[in-house]
Parts: sequence; C-alpha cells; structure tokens
Amino acid sequence: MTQITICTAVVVDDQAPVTIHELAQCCEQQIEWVMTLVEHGVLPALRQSAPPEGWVFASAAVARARQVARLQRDFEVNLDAAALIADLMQEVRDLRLQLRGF
Amino acid sequence: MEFKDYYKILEVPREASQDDIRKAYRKLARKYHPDVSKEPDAEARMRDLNEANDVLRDAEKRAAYDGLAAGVAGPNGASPGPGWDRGFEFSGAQGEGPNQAEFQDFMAGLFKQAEQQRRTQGRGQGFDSGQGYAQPLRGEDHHADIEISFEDSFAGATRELGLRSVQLDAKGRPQLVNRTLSVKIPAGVKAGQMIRLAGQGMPGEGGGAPGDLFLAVHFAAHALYQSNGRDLSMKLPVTPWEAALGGKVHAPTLAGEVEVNIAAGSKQGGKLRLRGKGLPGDPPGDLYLVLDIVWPTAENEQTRAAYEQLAKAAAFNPRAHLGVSA
Repeated sequence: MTQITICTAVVVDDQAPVTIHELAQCCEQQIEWVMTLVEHGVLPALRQSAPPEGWVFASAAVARARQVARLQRDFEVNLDAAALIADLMQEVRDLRLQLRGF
Repeated sequence: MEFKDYYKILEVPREASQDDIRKAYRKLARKYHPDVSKEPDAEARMRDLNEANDVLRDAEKRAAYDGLAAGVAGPNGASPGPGWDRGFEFSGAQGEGPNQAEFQDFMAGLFKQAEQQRRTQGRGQGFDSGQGYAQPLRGEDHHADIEISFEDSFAGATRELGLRSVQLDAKGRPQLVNRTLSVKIPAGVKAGQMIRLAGQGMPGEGGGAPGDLFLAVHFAAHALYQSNGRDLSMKLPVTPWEAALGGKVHAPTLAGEVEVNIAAGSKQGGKLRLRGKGLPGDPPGDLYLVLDIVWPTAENEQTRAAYEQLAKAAAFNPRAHLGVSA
C-alpha cells in the first residue's frame, strides 16, 4: 500500500531561507566552514547579522556551497581554487543558457 | 533488472582500495562533468558517479552498501529484487510533460537513516526507559532536483513524486518503503531556486522534528521560450515588410495570445519588451520578443517580380562597408 502525503512547497528565497545550520548539514560541514566561505566572499549570506547563528542563505548559495564542498572533498583543492572552479562552471552554464536562444 | 552497481559505475573491482576509488572517480568526473563533457548522457552519468562515490569513498557506507546489496539479492543470491534498477530515486508519476526529480544524495541519506534507526533501536534495548535518555534530534534534510515547465511556474502545479526509502524491520533488516508525495509547486518559481517541503526529510530522533525536503528547480527545455530569472525571451518571426513598414502582429505568451506593435524600420535581432508577461512574482518578469526577419522564397512569378522590383527600387548594397561594389 502506498501512502500519499499532500504538501505545499514554499520557495526558499521568498519565505523560508536556509539557515546556517541547515546549510552546514547539507554540505556535511560545520557552521565554521560556512562562516569561512562567507568571510572569504565565496558565499553571499542573505541576512548577515551578528551572531552567525542568525545568518540565512538563498537557493543559489546552497547550490554553490554544495559544489565547493564537493570540490574540496573529492578533488582536495583549497578554498580559493574551489571558488574559482565554481565561478568558471557557473560562467559556462550561463553562456550555454544564452547560446540556447540562438 | 539491472542492479545499480556502484563498483560498475566507477569502473573498479569490488576489492578496489579507497585510493583506486578516488582516482577512478576523479578520472570519470573529468570525463562526465556536465559543464565540460560532450557526452549526451553526461548529467545522468555524473549523478550516478557522485552517488557511487559518496557511498564507496566512505568505509562505513561502503560496508553497509555491500551488506544491503547482498541482503536484497534474490533466493539464488544472484539477482537483486525488483525495482533495484531504479535505485532510490524519485520517479515521476502522473502529470504531463517531463517530470523527473532525482535524489542526488539519497543513497547516502539512506545509510544515515538506517544508522539512526539502529541507534534508536539499540537505545530502546539498552535502557529501561529509552525515552528518558533520548535527546530530541531534528531529522536530516534531503536534497533532490525537480524539472518543471514554464507553464508549471506560470500557473503553479501539483506534481506527484514517488519516494522510496529504506527502513529497518523489527529484526534490523532493511526493507524498501514506498510513499508518494503530492507536491504543490508555487507559481513564479525560477530556475535554480529551491523549494522547501517542511517535514518531508528524515524522521527526527527521540521526539525531534523531522527534517525538510529541498527540491532544486530546473526548467525543461521549451520549444518557444528561454528564461533568465523571471524574464522570458522568445524569437518572433516577422516578414521584411512588417519590419520595414511596421504593423501589428500576434504573439503567444504564457497568458495567451497578444497583439504587439512592430515599429517601422525594425531590425533583425531587435527586442520588444512586454512588461509583466514573464513569470509571475513581485515584481513579475517581462517577456522579450526578439525579432527574427524571415524572407519568403521567390518561388512563383509574382514573388520573383516583387523581388526584382525591390532590387531596382532599393539600390541597396549590404556589403558597402566591406569596401566592395554590389
């Protein structure tokens, strides 16, 4: 028997931004790691008020943090290189999207 | 049915060392990463690679995977149970159009889930009153992708997602459990945004709240529109006389057909902006119509004569700037 659950989704950015704890958990990291990314300008925080426990993040930051975490873990690159690779990948995706229109 | 064999995906033998697995993953990731790969199925291959790597790189998860794989093998011990070829992914059900959502890290999540249940069961047996000792722990969040159409984002949509998980039975053996989520996708959602389904992640521990399920939204390729945030753009074919003389033409939008004014002297690639006709939101996106001038062929006497007349009347040399004569 299959159980059916009906649920309403909310858009992360508008109504329910991701907390620093949720972001750290989904990257399998500690919140200090997220703080380092924000301090180095690798990751934008949506609301960067002190203390860091109150920081929240938009969707794009989550995807980026996961990508940086994976690059660091699987390719053992340092934070600066991981950020650069993530930037280049984003650029490639943006350009490909533009190309689709032609 | 094919078993989702992580060793096969990473092209390593079952006895491969952690170092072999790391090297194999890196080599294949360079080949199949969708941002660099020319392979047609790069995205799916990369997802499998990540899933396989997440499990096999971790000694504990790898042991659990080996055990789980052996546990679901059929009576002869050779063929895994039905449904294993689909792994633990979301599978789209009902609804029109592409409806694929996949759990990127679901397999990894399963082991955590099994681990957590084992701990909970162990605690129940170890203490007289397990509840007194249990510290409430919030369940983990799950992350997955979902592909929707522009129409879904425009009007909002309901999607049914089949969700598969592993739960341990009373004897601690892993069992597959199916459940279906009927998800109401909010209107105005953009590509790259995440939507949150509260309480649909992993169950909490010791009375803790369940985690959430996050779905990262992707748009399916559309025959007419491209998106940039909430803005949409579309090529609008126009005739040379419509572009040169101006006039009213009809264009499709997500909200239905509209009449637009083409200014006299419009050029190829010129853009018209229809304010608020993109994806909904506050503020709503715009729809850009990119003019694409299309010429009829000189296939009969009349059109041939018209082109000849135009050639005489226009005295037009499009190569003048190249310094050559007509």
